[in-house]
Amino acid sequence: MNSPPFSPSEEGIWNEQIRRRELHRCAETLVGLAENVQLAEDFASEAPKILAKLIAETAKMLADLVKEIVPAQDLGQINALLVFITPHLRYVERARVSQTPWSIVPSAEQLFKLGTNSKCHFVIRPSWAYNYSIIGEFVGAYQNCLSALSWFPIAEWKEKVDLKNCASIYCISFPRIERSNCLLHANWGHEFGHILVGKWVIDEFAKAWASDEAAIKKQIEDHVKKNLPRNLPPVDSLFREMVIQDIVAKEMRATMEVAQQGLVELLCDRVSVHIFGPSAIAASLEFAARFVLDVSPLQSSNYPPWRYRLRKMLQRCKSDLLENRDTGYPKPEINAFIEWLRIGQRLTEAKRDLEVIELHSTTKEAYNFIDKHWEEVAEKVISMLPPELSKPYLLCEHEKAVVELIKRLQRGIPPNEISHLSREPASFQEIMSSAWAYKMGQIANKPSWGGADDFGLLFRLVLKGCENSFVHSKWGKEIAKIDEHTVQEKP
Amino acid sequence: MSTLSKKSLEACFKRREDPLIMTPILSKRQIGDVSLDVRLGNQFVVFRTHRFGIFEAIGQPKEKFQPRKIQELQIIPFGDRLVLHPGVLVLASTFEYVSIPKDLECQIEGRSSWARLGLQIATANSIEPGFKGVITFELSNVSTVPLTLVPGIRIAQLFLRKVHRPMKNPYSGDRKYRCPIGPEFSRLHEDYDWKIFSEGKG
Repeated sequence: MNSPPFSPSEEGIWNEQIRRRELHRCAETLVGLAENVQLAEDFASEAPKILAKLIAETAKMLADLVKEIVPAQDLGQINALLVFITPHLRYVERARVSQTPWSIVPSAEQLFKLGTNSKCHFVIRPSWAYNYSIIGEFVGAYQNCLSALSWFPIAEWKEKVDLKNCASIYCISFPRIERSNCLLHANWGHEFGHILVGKWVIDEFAKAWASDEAAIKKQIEDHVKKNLPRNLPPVDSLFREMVIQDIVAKEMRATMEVAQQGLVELLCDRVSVHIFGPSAIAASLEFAARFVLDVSPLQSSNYPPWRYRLRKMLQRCKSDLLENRDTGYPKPEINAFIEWLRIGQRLTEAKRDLEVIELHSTTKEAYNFIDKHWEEVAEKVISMLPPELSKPYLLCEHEKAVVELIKRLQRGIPPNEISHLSREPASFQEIMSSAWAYKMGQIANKPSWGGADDFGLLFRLVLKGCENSFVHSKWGKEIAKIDEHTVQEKP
Repeated sequence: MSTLSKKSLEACFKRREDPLIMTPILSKRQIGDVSLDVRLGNQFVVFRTHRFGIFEAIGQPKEKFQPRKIQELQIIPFGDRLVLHPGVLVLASTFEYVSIPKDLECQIEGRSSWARLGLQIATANSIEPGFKGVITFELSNVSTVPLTLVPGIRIAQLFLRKVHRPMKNPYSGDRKYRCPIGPEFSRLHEDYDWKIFSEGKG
């Protein structure tokens, strides 16, 4: 005899039992995975372990709560939460030393912490896509999701994940194939910029847009009216004004999106140049050379054309590209690099990107908006940096140190300190500048330079330079203090 | 050949032409009376004993000489530790990067404080004039208890000696280990006479 079909309440009970059991099992599995990956202990910094701990502790609490406390109607949310959290573990797994340029990870993280705060952590991992990107922030995202659940003990969670010492976690990606090409990783400056620029967008973009919205709308409306097809279909002709307003509304939305995305990318470039100076431009130039320079934002997910971006970056470095007869800048060691950047400048003198932007009213109005607000907004974003990073990195101001580091590279020595026995480790930015200047010098002066061995040696020396400089700056001072206060050991 | 004293070492560091370089020197006290103390780096080549019963270094063609099958690279971050068990050999390197001038030859030796605990640091302990890079150690624990090592500790000493009639371009040509920044896997198969004896093609 067939059993009668389930009533809705019976089905609910059946479903709840399975969900509680399976969600508990999944959460427990996630705890195990997250704890195991922490045990690997081969990360270049603490950040991946901190992200793994965040995942493990969150999953552990969900696993405990899902057995009884979670109301039946919220089980779907637990499922969604686990689906959201679980893939984040891949960022931890990919941050192991065998996958990353581990020698420069501590230096980069130290620099980014200086730009945000010491409780901000950066997981650096490769991606197979040929792209640099930033993902996050994880702590805030988890907190938002969990706070929405009335039954979730958020105070206990904050304590377990040690929120006092873990304000935020970001994941910065780089193209896997460029793992050891540390020169290109100056592009991390752009990704770091997203943290500052993201804050500006939340706080200020709407205000800036609102102040110009009416004027932009008028321009777009005029354009739409002027270009409306003369022979509108009969129905459309009856509602001519409604058709116009519909098109204008769509174009306004598109214009705002192009303006916002364009401004974000350009501001991130600005932050990158501010921190790394010409190295950031060089990294962008080499990266951009793989792509078409003048693609309309409408055909590239609202990204600005590369030529436009490079022009804005180079404008910021003008003083580095000028000769200074009084100081003798640029010295022969960096001259080829400066010349190469000047070629980049010539590249941006062509206006094909601007022509592409002018072609469409959406991009035209968006970039008029960007131009109008550029200087003020860029200044505001840079002012968000702490005092230690408020001064832009200018190559001309660091020339002496960079030339010393280049001389070391020329002799096959890592560029980790300004001069031998100086006790003055080179900064991450100085090392990057020297590496770019050395590379461009070799390319300009030695036609045969550029084989795998040449690049391999350069990358090795720069990686070692970054590692030594980091260790030197972190432990060197303490060791020097002991030097001053203790008596010489007996041999 | 005589061993360089502290004054001579300092003079070699400071000379303009082909100076002796050891970078970075975190403590002035690393420059001893007749030696230079070097620190332990953070890269280690360890054996993967669980996969292979035998590794035949000889008796097979060049392309089959693949030490990565039996060894792998491990990174121990500064501030972390490596436990070296009795009877185990790992390749390690100096933290400092050195450049040996063409008129000097270098010998690496363990520090006696470590030797007393059973740590041996090198069996191939001569570094030729003109060498640049970190120096590879062959660390082994010959005691009966595990030893804990941390990157950054002073682990060995370099002794430098003058070379009689230095060469013009030492350490040039087809050298196997050029500017290493960590311990490198063996390149025995790149020996100029490898084929003659190992493949029996003499």
